[in-house]
Amino acid sequence: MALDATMLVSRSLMRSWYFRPARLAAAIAAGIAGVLLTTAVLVVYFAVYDALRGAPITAVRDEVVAVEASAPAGLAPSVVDEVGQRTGLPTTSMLVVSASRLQDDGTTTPMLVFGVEPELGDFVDDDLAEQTREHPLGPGEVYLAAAWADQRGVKAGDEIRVGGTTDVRTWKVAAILRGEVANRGSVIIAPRPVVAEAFGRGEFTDVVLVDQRGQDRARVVADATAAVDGAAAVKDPKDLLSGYRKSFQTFLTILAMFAVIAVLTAGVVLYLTWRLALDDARPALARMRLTGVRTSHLMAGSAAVMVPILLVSYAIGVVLGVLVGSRLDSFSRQITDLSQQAVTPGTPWQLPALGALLAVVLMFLAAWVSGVRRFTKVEAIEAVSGRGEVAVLPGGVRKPFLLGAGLLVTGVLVVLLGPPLVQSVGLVPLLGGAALLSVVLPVVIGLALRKGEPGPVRLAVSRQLQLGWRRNAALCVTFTVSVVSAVGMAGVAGSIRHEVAASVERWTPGDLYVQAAPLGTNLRNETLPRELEQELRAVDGVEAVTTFSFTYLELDGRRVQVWSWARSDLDRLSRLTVTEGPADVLTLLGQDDIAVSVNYADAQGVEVGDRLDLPLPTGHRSVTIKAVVDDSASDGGMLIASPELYAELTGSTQVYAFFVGVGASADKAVVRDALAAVVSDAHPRSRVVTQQILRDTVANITARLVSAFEVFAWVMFVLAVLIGAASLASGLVDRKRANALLRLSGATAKTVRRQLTVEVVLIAAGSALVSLPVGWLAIVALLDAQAVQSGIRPPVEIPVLLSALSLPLVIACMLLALVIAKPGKANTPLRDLLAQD
Amino acid sequence: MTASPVLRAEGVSREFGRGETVTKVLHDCHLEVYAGQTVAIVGKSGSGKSTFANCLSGLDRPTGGRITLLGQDLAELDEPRMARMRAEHIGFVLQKDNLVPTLTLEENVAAPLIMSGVKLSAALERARAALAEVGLTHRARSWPGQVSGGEAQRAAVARACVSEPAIVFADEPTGALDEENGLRVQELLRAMVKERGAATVIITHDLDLAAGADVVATMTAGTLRAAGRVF
Repeated sequence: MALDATMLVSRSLMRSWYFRPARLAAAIAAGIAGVLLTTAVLVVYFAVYDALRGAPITAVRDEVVAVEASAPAGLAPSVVDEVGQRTGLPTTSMLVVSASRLQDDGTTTPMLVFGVEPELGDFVDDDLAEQTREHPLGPGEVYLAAAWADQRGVKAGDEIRVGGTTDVRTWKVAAILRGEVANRGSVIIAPRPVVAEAFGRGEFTDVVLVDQRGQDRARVVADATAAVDGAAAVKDPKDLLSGYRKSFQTFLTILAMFAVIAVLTAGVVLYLTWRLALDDARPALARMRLTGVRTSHLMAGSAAVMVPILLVSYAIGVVLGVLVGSRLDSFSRQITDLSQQAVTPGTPWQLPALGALLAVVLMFLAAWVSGVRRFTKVEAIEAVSGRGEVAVLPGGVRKPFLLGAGLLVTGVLVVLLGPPLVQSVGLVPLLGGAALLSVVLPVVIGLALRKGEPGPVRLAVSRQLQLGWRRNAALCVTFTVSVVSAVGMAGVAGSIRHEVAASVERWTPGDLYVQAAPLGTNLRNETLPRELEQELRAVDGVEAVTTFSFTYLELDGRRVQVWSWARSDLDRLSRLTVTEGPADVLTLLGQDDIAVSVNYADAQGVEVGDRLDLPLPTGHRSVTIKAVVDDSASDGGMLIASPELYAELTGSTQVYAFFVGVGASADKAVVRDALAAVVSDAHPRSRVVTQQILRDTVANITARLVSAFEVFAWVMFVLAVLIGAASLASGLVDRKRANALLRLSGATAKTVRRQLTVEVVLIAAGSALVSLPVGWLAIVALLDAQAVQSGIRPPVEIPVLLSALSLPLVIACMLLALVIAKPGKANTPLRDLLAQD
Repeated sequence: MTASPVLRAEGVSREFGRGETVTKVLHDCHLEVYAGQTVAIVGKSGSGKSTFANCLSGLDRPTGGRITLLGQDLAELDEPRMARMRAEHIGFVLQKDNLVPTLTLEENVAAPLIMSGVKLSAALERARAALAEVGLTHRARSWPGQVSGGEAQRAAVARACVSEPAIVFADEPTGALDEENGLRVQELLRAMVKERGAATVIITHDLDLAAGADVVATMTAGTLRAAGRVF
């Protein structure tokens, strides 16, 4: 019996929406958009997270302790020996090098090259050990992993070309190892001497594996830690190559913020749309009360109807979300390039799909529970009196207005006057105040319009704004949240992009740049010999040359960039400004001091005079911060080392690039060709690029990342507005009779159309009036939030285009909704308009 | 002397649908209504009386015949001119839900005046006077959702008469009310219309209501009988 009653309620609700397709379409569209946004953002988030997390080495046995060098040079042989002696256990060492696989069509694929010793078989699982025994490596031979090779059709016996430090190496594939082995299969395993020679690593070692062999693990770890003296981190094998986990936090933080905002926006839209759908069913539900239907039937029946809507929305939304998210995988690819860790992440769709399901179910529950609360108040008497269908003036606007204004003022004060790291907290009252005010403002506008001697249009508009507040609230909150989110995110993206571009400009006043490999694909292991400098100086037209090198070292568990310039011609080739410390710090740095970028100082809370403990191949050294330079180009900040300290850290005198200044009278194109001729024979992957290309490329690595945020912001904004428009269209259909009654009193169809147009323009304008300034302030709060990780505090840049277009776009969508709804269509007989539902 | 009728319907017919599904609701209906006259159109449910009234008042367009109101052929009026005609010369009282829910009672009553270009303050003053006539002074600033069905119907009568129209159409004006309220609305409508010298067309199946009319026309299966001037 109960089931029958529930079924009856479900059928009634379903049919009421069937006869109101606009409402149904709005509910489904909102659901799809919400799921799409959530899924797409989560796909990007997890793809980036995967890229940063690094791919584990999966084949090493659990009873192994790993020692991973912190300095880019690796560990000195003496330190490796010390590890063996202190622990008294068998060890094996490995080289781990990021490299590019070169293909005939000119494309490159990042890979990790492992240089291993024959003893490695004792440290890996039995299956891998067995395979390596079956196919011992001959001269010039390497292993590949099946997870990578099978996808690319590479077989045993094929050749693979890899960019070495100074030239291209060709190796023969001895065997394809089953499974991933490491790095999701994107690995080349070669004898250690071969790798050391190809990449100029000499006797240094990146990873030492210690076989625990039943010994107390804590003791082994303690002995190994004492042996390395700060030169390496002792960890579980599964944590190897994980240094990037604490890097690129800016992007992860922004992505996380964006995910929260996207879910919030989608949630608000879904909640309001679905709740309106349930509100629309109220008259039908009241009539069903007459037949003895109980609250429990209404609850179960409404759930039974909404669950299919939820499932349809989810099924379509999640597929579209994964597609959109995977299209934006440039995020993760850029991260891969930036981090040079040669990890190629896929499309991690499972967790995003699960996350989106969780989000959509929560939104659905919120809307349904809210609707259910109203169901309990649906009385049978409404079916007779119809009072439930009549708008009632809200209790008054003073309290909500004051509350909204109070929240807004609090948010503004916190954001504008709060100290760093507190400003971001202001976003909460800011958003709450904006949402509340956006609901109240139309009511206030309505009250104001009623003053004086309004004509028919003004009178009708003023009253509708006052009494239609509940339905208008859905539109107002949707617009406000979407505009604040979109403007906020676009502002953050633009501000960071400009800051990075300004930083890049400061250290690229040179005219030409000689790179070891094409920009964007050159890993840090591809370098040029320092001796090339003299040959470059000899080229006609060249007036200044300096060398630039960069690497990463592991500091406090996170990878930090280290930059180094030679001291020559710096006045011509660098305009880095010093915010604290001596202005000519780049020429003053010695082996015991460094400079740090302003975002490093901010993120790590250090200043001039503080000391940092840097890992060296043989131990560690405490160095003094001599200056802070104005640069935000590197995520999380960077250190600047003298050439001597840099050589000590990397164990190499190779350079990453030459910065070249061209004389005023020389033709840059000619000089460029001449430089290319000097380097191309010995270094076929080298490139000579112009200042503009270098700036565009380097700045664009960040710019492309943040631009994708801007695209997301636009997509989110447009989706929210379209959903608002669909909601408005369906709401207008419900006002058919009220509009017809106005026409019965002598209003023309044109008058009704004007009334509706003025209404939506005022609602949109009210929302924009509140949301645009709040969106601009949100930029400050969001920048403060991301600065916790990145240390970047750029000047705030207002997204002018989005701000300027937001109001016209909202109004255009509203007018489109009016066209769709056609509430005042002149040739519709009033007889039809007045007909009861 | 024979005055011109306020409303004249000549050979009015109305069809719905097309081809084989066409339904003829009205057949060759004739009616003349004169100033100060009350015409009751009675008939069973589905007989076509409301459709006829809709055509007479310009809410619907007949598929045949001609209707003139104050000498104007309704078929020749475009939408703005028809709207002006409604605001200035026609009053309506529907069975229920007469009032715009987002306007107060006085604003609802003032609506036809406002649509005619009367200033709001003046229109509200006249609306309040009309509401006083129907005993709703104390409800002038109430919302439709806050008044009873009888009060809403009395407000609708006030609205129908406030612009001193030439004719008032009342479609089952007491159909949704109890006997006491129905009688009150009936008396008010009659009194206000008479005072203003307007004609009235009442659509009803309430024979008591029809009994007070000057002319009673019966609609049977889309055909109007016994219509015409009786005094």
